[in-house]
Order: sequence, then C-alpha cells, then structure tokens
Amino acid sequence: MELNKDMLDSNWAWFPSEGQDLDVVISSRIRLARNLANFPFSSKATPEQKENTEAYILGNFAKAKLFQDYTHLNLASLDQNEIALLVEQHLISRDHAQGQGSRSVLIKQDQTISVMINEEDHIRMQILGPGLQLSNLYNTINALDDDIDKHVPYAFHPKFGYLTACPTNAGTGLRVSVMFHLPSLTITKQMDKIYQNLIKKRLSLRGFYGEGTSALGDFYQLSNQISMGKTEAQLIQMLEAVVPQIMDYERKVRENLISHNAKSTNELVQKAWATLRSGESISSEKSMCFLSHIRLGIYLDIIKSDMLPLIHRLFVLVQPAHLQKIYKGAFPPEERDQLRGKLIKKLLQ
Amino acid sequence: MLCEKCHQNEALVFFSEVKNHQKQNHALCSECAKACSAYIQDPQFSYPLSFQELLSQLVSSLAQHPGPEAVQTQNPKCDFCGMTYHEFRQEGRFGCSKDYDLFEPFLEKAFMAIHGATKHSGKKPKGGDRMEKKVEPIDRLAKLHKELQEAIEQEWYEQAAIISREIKKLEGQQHGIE
Repeated sequence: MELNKDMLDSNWAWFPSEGQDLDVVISSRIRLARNLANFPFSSKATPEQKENTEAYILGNFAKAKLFQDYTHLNLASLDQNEIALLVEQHLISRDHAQGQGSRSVLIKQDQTISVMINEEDHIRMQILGPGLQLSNLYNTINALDDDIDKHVPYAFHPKFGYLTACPTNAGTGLRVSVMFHLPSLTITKQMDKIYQNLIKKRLSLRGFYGEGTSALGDFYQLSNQISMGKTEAQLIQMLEAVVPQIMDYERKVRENLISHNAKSTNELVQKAWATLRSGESISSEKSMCFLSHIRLGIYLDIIKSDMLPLIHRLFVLVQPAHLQKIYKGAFPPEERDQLRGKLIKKLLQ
Repeated sequence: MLCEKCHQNEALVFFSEVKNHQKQNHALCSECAKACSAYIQDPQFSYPLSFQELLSQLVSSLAQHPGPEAVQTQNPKCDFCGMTYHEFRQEGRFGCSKDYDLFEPFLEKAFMAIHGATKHSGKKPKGGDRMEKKVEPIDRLAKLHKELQEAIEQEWYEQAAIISREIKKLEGQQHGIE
C-alpha cells in the first residue's frame, strides 16, 4: 500500500524531541475564551446567527489585517478525517470538531497558535510550546488578545469579567495547561493520590486531548480548575508551584523502579518493545501504552536514547486520523489496527 | 451528608450510576464533583457522568437556595437569547452575555462554588473602564430596586428607607443633579 511519506517526517511544537526536563514535562498550553457582546453564544444561536457571528469576526479580522499569515480552515467544508487530524494535532478541541454549522479555525504557519471561531465560545485562542514556559506563552497570547480586542467588542462584565458560555470559564477565560508524561506514577497507581491533592489546590488533571479525555500513553495535562477571583499571573503561579512537585515525584518513582523493581521494569519495557516490533495488529490506545513504556525505558537506560524522536513521532502517527492520512484512505477499526501494527514495525526497524 | 470522596465537605451533587445492573447512589461535594471531569475515563474511577451533567446537577442543587425569591418563582427569560433561568439550571450554560445580568442574584453562589470567588480580578478589555463607569450605576439601580421591593415585602421599613434614599441619590446623579 502506498504511503503518504510527508506525514512521516512531521514535527509538532507541542511534542519536542529535546529540551529541559523533557523526561517528565512535554509542553505548555495557554487558552483564552472570549465572546462578543450582542451576539448569542454558540449553543443558543440559530444556524444563521452562527454564520453572522463568524462572518462578523472574520470580516473584522480581515479589515484590521489580523491573521494574514494564518491558514483559515472552514470546518463545515472539511472531511471528517481532516477534522480529526486537527484534533490529534491539538489544534482544535473535540467539541469544535463535533460542533454543528458555521465554525472555523485560524492556524499560524508554525502551528503554535490556533484561533477557534464558534466553538462553545465565539473565540477561543490557544498557544502551544515545548517544555515549561507558561509566562512566555501567556505574554504572546495576551498581545494577540489585545489586538483582537481593538477590533471586536468583547462581552465583559465589571464584576464577572470576561463572559463565557460555561460558568467554569468566566472571569479570566484562561486555561493554563502543562502536559506531563507520568508512566511510573501510573504503573505504581499513584495517580489517585495526585488527583486528590490537586483538587485541594483547585487544579485538575485532564487527559491527552484535554477535558473529558483519557490519559492515553500516560500523558496528563495539569490545568487550573478555576478562572475567576485570581489574576492571570496568579493562575499561572498556581500551576508553576505544583509542576516541580509532580516532576520530582515521577522521577523518584522511576529511580525506585530501577533500584527495587529492576527485573519487572525491564520486562515491562522489553515486552512493549517486542510487541511493537512484531508488527501484530494493535489499537491506538494499546500502542500508545507500549510507546509510553518504551519512552520510560529510554529514560531508564533500557532503550537507546537516540530512539526518542522516533518514539515521539509514533505517538502522533498511531492515532486513527494520522494513520488514515498516511495510508490515504478510510478504513474500519480492525483494518486500521493491522495497518498500525505494520507501520510501527516498519518505522522501528 | 458528607462527600463520599473527600469525607470533609457537605455533599451537594447527588447522582445514581447503574453498574452491572445494580443501581449505586453517589454524593459528592462541589469540589470533588468539579474534579470529576478528570476521572471520567480513568479506569481507576467509575463515575460515568460527563462534566456537563455534573455541572448542571451542581447548578441545580445550588439553586435550591438561590437567594431572592423572584428568581426562583418567576423563571425570568432573556429577551435577547430566549434562555430561561430553569433552562440555565438544567444545561449549566449561558445563552448570551446578557444572561449574566438577568441571573445575577443567583450567580454569586454558583461562582463561589465553582471558583471560590465571585469577582473577576484579572485583565480588562481596553473598553473595560469605560464600560464599568457607564454600566455600573444602571446595574446598581436595578439591584437597589430589587432590594427595595424585597425590603418592602419583608416589612423591613428602615432598610427600605435607606435604599430609597440611595436610589434617589443615584437617579439624581444620572440626571446631573447632585
């Protein structure tokens, strides 16, 4: 079967292969939710009102010459796999993918910034970057927010702040996230303890694709649970205070795995390696679980460290929409599992 | 009843789960309910509700004590987006920015449960100061009128007199009279 080779060498800003603390911290993300005054929110808007809102926003952006170097994608005119691909690349949310009617996304050339229009909120802008760099990313997205603010009237309340469709986002409309790889804490069943501690700090852990998704490949996104009553800088500090603790915890458990459970840890990594190299049919969830164990093996010196860039690429490529794009078609799940097994084997050799 | 997860806070969100053909009842505090979004697909946890469902239950349970009587009984409807207060309680989502003003008497409790705060203290849009000056007296007047009505209904005449004086003062300011 012919392969789409361009896909195999892609790089993603949110999934770097080098950087500080990369053993545990993968990337940072900042999202701002904004709405326009005098337009109904997406859930209450008629198809015509949604069209008008989108046209108004895009028209004002064009007049102001904003986003000229961005790609505009109209979701209503994209096929399902292209939309799913955007979710897998973390450029749009699942809700935006599954939404109805007029909705689109503006994507910066280097794919670090995307602006969703007519998601749950009229405008949701996000910025992604490698490693831990929340303040830096916030400054960039804040400047973009100021630019947009000059050209569209934001819905703002003197008491409640930026008004959002869901009360959980009102106030700053800010969601700050750090993506971690926590295989040791997952294997040793420590995550429950972490969840409990984070609740008290008004922070939460979300899955690989954000809210309501599972921790595929042992990737977790730490984010703020609250968005009102604290400044943007305070919310960022709340997260930054916890990041070193989670990092230390994961690293200590890794050390413990090697010093006290070397045999079983080695077996776990070797099993993952052997399974993925066998080429057998495999689901995306299972393959991400095995890739997670291999990634752990790299940092425990069981697997060669030069494998890291390839393992990172595989985390992305094994996802269903990427796989279908690579094999240029739409396949039922069983067939996808077979193709996935073959692809992983081919790339690992 | 205490929350079944943290065993510390009062349970506010109640729901049932059917597992292996057996019904199980759960009771969570607002904090644990909110954090449930992180558990949804975690195999270590079995709470099957979406965050949206939990949120609407949280909003509903809070609405048992929403403050001024009028909000509960009159079920105000937004003349811009058509959202009613009951709908908002059910869906846990606003229909437009004007709903925030319409449902304001209820919102403080909801925001306190969700965010532990009722007032935004972050960034403001460039038009923020202008909006605040322009909007605040009108909002305040509407609020005072509501409070006056409540005070009269409760026969708190002294308080009614104070509010009435405050209203006159504000109305005077709006018409340029000091």
